[in-house]
Amino acid sequence: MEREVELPDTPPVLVANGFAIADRGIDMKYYRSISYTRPHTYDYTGESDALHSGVSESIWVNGSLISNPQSYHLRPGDHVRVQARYGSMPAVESSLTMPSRPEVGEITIKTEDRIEYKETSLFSQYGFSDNLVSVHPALLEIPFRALATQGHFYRIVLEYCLIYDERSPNYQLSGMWKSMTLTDPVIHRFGENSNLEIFWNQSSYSKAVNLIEGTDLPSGGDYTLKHPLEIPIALVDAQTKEVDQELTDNVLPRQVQLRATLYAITPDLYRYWVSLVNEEMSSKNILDVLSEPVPIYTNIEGGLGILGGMTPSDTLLYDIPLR
Amino acid sequence: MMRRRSPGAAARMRVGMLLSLLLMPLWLFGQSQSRMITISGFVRDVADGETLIGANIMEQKSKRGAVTNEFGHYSLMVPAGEVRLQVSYVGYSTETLELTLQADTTLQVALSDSNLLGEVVVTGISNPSSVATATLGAQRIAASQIKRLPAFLGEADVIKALQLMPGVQGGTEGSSGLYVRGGGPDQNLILMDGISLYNPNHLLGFFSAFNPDAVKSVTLYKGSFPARFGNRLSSVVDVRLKDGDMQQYHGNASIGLISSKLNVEGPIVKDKTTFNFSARRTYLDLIAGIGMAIMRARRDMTDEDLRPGYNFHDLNLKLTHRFSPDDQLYFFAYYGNDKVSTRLTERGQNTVSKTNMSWLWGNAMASLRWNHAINGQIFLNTTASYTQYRSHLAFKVEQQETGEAPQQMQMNYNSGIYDGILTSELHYTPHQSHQMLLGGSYTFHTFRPEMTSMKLQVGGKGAAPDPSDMNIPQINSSKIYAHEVALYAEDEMKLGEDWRIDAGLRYSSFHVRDKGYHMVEPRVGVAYRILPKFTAKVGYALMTQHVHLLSNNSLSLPTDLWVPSTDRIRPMLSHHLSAGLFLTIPEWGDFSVEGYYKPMKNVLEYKEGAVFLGVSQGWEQLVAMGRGTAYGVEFLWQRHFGKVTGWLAYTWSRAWRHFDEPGEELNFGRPFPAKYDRIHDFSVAVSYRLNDHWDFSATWMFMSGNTGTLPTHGYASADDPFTPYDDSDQIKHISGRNNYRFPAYHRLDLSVSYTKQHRVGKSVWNLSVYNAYNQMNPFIVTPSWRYDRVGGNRETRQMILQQTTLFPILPNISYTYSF
Repeated sequence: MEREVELPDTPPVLVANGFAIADRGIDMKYYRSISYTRPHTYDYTGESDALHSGVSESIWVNGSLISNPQSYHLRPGDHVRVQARYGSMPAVESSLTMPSRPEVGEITIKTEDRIEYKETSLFSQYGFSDNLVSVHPALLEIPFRALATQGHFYRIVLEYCLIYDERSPNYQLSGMWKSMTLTDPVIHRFGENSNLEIFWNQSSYSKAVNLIEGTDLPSGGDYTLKHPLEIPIALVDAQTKEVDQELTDNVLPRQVQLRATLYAITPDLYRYWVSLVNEEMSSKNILDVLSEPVPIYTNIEGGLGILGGMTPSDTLLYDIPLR
Repeated sequence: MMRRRSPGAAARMRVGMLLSLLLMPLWLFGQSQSRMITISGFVRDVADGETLIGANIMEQKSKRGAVTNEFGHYSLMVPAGEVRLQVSYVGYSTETLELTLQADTTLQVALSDSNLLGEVVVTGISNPSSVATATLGAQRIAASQIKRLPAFLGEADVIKALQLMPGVQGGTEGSSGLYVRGGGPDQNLILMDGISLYNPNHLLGFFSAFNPDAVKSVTLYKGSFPARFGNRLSSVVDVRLKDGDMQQYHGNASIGLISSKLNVEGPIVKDKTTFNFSARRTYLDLIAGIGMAIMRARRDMTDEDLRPGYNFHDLNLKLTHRFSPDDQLYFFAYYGNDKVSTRLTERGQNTVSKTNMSWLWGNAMASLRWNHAINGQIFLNTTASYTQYRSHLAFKVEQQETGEAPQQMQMNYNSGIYDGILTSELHYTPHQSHQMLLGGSYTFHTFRPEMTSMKLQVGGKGAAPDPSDMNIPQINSSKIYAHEVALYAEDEMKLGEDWRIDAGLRYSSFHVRDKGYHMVEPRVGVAYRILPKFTAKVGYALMTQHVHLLSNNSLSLPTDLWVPSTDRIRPMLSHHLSAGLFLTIPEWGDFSVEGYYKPMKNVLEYKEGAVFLGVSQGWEQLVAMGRGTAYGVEFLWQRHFGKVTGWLAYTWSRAWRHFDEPGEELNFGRPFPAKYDRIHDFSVAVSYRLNDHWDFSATWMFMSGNTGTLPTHGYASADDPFTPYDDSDQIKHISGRNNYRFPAYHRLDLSVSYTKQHRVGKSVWNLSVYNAYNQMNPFIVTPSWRYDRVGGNRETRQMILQQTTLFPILPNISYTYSF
């Protein structure tokens, strides 16, 4: 026998989501939360509950009220406090201290001479199932210098961009930056993120959240992050391994550009992203209904959401010519 | 020159020193005594020769007493000369013996059931947590008492009777789960005749594995645990089984709506060898089979034949042989299985498809025990035993198209735990003020977390191999072997007239995969008699647990896995502090109030996002280790005598979990209530015997609801600043783990029995009503959306709880014939 039981009422609250990024500014967005215990219309993204006006917002940096937060030049060590109010909802408040700027060395790529042959989903997608791609195994290295460890957190953003010849059918994809999921042991991999087959796989964009907990770094904070790469050389016949030059020129990119930035992030933002990625992974599992629920971290007093702070390192660039 | 000691040697030395300290009072007391003699023997039921556990033997002149152990044996030191011995046992007529003894004497005592003599009706048996002992948090229930309580679908149940005790809670509706003082169901050591029973449930937990016809007594320890028990944190349920009548054949057969059972006992060689055999089987599969056949006939379903089935059965056999008054040999075996099966045959125009599924799980155990009274003071008990719990799933699909060879796919799943155990214990009474127990045990554990295989056979069974045939080992978690050794000592000390001390020490070692854990576990209970019938007690016990059950916490499923402590998963540990006041008021009964505080370490919970199915591989990464805290106050009023007997119990308690170690955080490191944190728990059990024919009983329970985790708000996540498009998603906000408390649970059960004596034997008609006022208690509660259309195409939704109630009011009638 089944029956419905009503849940106690939980009124909506103000949601504040925002990032304070050093050298850039503070960007806040406000929403009205949906009370699940009240009848509501369902919106997948929550955009319909975005509050574009009517929110009374006050932001202080180092105790001084600022008027133009989006263009305020934040520096490491700045203390940011955000307060907001909307209608009769309880006021919300949050604060953070901008992390110190992390230092990184130069990107290096060590390429091996040996050749490996790989299958790739690209060819079955285009009907080239008789072809393989020949690659040189390689190792990408990014040195970190004297990073703070205990109680400090980081996110590394490593992106690549493929440059195609004009005659390539993929030419329109040139210049599009995509994130890479890294496999170094210090990277916290939550759930089962699959690594991208970079440089030739044109699959849809996959979000990569490469988080690092300072305590996982060696004492002193000097560490070289490593990630295996496969540098494509040519497309070959699957049976004979002979290079198909025409196909190679048409399909493989001419050049790959890499850029990497290490962000020192606030502990609250680290917890938020960890819980968010965990929740995403859990909800993708077909046995989701049997899984333990994942609470999402919030540091907004009186409401919900996240105020995160990030301080970037210098951005590193690296070009890999393929032909 | 000093020699450097290894850590192991240091630990051994510490154990030796502690044992010396423990035994020192014994030596001191032994210095100033006059000539003493020892009286020892067994106390039995005069009718069937069954030994009585917990009977009191009191020498009235010297006021010295003893209690029979779990084998019915006692040993008492008294001054030589005239002795006035009073032997009593609740429910039996007290026997007083006047003797003149000058030397050690063996004295076998037989007591008569007072009900048979037409005396005042008394039920129940002596309570180990009485005003006369230093034991805290222990309860003993007789099988007769359990049988008098209203039964779920006519099946009297040991575990459900325990759920009515203070500090003990059940799981979901109808289940046999035990949650004792804030602990999980895997923290209970459940012993069947002294052997560990890993899965004490049938039918997903609705029935327990104990056949009440085979049970003699049940003792629950939830406080200061004797040192002989280990490897669990929260409780010990010590179920002792009947030996069998040495004089005559007896038996009973019972027919209920869903099950029937049979119990036979009697002498194989009179006064020498006896047996007790009981069997039980449900017939839900037969009922379902008949129902499906009727449905097929009515709907003319010739193209589909579905045959579902479920049954459980268990068999108990106990053989006892007395070589002499001092030597007894026991053989015990138990075999119990649950089986779910379905057979589906579908006939199409050109194809026939057969799908068979069979899931079988259960326990099997056997033991050989030798009791030997070496002399009046020393009693030796040695046991070799084997226990296993296993689960086997077989799934087979066979498909055949007309004119084609059949194709067959098979899948098998196996998991289990297998233990071989050797135990030896000496019960030693060196002095009238000391009752000691020294013992040791070795257990060889074999864990098989999971083995799954798949087989694809193109030609079907018996066909010649085909190139397309495949054997696919899916998961083959290798067996894990572990060695567990325990050494223990207990001493029940009487210091003067008013002080009692139960002291114990246990050393345990657990070795698995080259990793060893060593623990020294002190146990102590101290009692001070404030007035002759009013005692104050305090107790402390350190408990460790090396085995863990991976389960979903609410139902007992055959996919539950027992796993050992490993390099990463450390043994669980608890410090159990308790204190209580115990009062006996003549004509009113026994009153007690006990408080406890129990911090725990290394308790396990599934990590956020973890799925608890198919966890045998990499399970260590799916669970987090943290701390737990449980505390509460328990009130109990018990009445064992008179026409109205029973008890009334109330518990206020809390159980918390706190996972804040780096890498093990749950709930962002903040404390959260345990799933089975139930604040209020009230229960009352009353039996009334009108006369020799009519018995009435009722139980009522009320408890706060379980906790669960529910989202309360939805809101947009922050756009990832490194994603070139708007990746905002709707977050389900959960304010914390187990943030919601489900509705309270309450239920009234009633029972009336009519007993009629025949020329040969007697018959009992029993009518019981489960959930008499039809309370819709939750079995499963799941969050769900309720959709409403509001004008045009606009649709709204609202979260509600979908509550499934399994058992509304359930009357049941059963008939039992005993001879």
